[in-house]
Amino acid sequence: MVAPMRTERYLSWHWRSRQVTALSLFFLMLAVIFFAAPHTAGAQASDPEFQSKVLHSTIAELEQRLDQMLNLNGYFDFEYFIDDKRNSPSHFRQHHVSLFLSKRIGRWRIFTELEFEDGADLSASGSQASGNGTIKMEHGWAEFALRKRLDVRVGKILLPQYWNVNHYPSSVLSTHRPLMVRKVFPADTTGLMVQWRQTVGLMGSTVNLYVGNGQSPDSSRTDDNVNKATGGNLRVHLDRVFSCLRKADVGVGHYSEFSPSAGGTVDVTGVDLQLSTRRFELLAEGAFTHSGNSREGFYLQPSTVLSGELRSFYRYDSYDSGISRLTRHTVGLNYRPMPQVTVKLEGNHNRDSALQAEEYLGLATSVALFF
Amino acid sequence: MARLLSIALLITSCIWLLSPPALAQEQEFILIGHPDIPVTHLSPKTLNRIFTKQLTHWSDGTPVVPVELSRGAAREAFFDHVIGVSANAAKTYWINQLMTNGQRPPKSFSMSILVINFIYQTPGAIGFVAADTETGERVRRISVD
Repeated sequence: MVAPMRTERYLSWHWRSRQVTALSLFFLMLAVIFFAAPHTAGAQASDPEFQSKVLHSTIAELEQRLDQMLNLNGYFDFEYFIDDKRNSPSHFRQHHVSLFLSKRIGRWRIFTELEFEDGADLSASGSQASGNGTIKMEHGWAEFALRKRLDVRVGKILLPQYWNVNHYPSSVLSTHRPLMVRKVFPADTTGLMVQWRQTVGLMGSTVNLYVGNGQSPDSSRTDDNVNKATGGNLRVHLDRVFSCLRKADVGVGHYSEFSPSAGGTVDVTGVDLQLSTRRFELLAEGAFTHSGNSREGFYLQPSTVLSGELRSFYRYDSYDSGISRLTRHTVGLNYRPMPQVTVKLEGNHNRDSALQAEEYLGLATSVALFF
Repeated sequence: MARLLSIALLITSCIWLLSPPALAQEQEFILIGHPDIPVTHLSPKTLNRIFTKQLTHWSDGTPVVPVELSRGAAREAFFDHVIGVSANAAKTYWINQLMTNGQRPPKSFSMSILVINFIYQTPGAIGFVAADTETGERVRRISVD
């Protein structure tokens, strides 16, 4: 009987001591948490690593919120023209107010340019519209990054010839655009374009292939072209081959469509060249049609930095419409007091080979603001 | 004769002291990258492609994430001496890119410490900071060939 009693006492003592130990540990932990917690938080707050992580998380969160917002930019330009043509009064022109809306959603990008041209003042009722100016979507597309060097773009797309893409008053040197632009090579199509970038050794290349509606009226909505308009552009980047050049791009493009409204097959080839060093730049572009209405044109535009943000340029333009040949010499200055503001002044001499056409001198000045 | 030599020496010393040496210009910024990026030195041409977002991936497939200082002498020096255009011309380039292609410029921060923190936390990131910045061990210094 003694042994079980001893055992019971031992177990009871043992159990009680374990309870005491557990209670002690519990209170000890509470004390540690109570005393140590504020100290740890304080240490974390002063730890540069912790601060860096908090800062990075805050920035990442802000960026995420900004990415979810729609980006809105645009430009405004205002021009003044005077020339010595008969019956041609000088005039001001509030040319563009354009709004760029863009947004990135994962691997998708959406971009639209809405253009209000010539102080648009339009009213419409049913099928009747009246007023002045133009409101249009210059281009608008959605792009999906299929692979790291392969994108697919759908929508109203600018065709990838040099001045077609780089035509904005805030970025080009002159007020007037070259004579041939948009008259030989079409400016845009509504359809699908694939862009593929590849580097081979020191040479980079960009290939664009597109299929879309032809140049028929209402081409953003419908098409009278059974086979669709097709084309492509190969642009070779040679700046790493010629180390003395900051930029050396050569592009060649072709566009083809069978358009009943244009009177049959239209085949156009275009080439462009951009060479630049720190102070000098040479732009050249040409295009010609192979069939149908014969048209061709080219321009050559060397420019140089005079000082700081002041550039001077000369451009020789030629455009042959098949009926007459227009030529123009332009000399001008382009000044950027800040990256968003461009002030331009240019003089030009124009000549038309048609018999009745007159030769005249012109002056153009403009200011363009990006916002 | 000695007087002439002294004057010539004085003028030469003044010119030497007043003219900014090329090395000092190069040292106005430090190029840094995330510790895991697979490069230790880069050429100005490659940096040009990185900061114009034409080079989009490192050789190991990690996306390239360029980051800039938004202002200051380091920014001016980096664009002027490495990229080969003025900092303003770089802004103009991005205005053009935004209009023609919807492309946005690299992220930018106003302080070097923020650039370092961003690069440390972002795989594939590369950027430049002011030369007097203590970069520490968290980022990798990259030399410009």
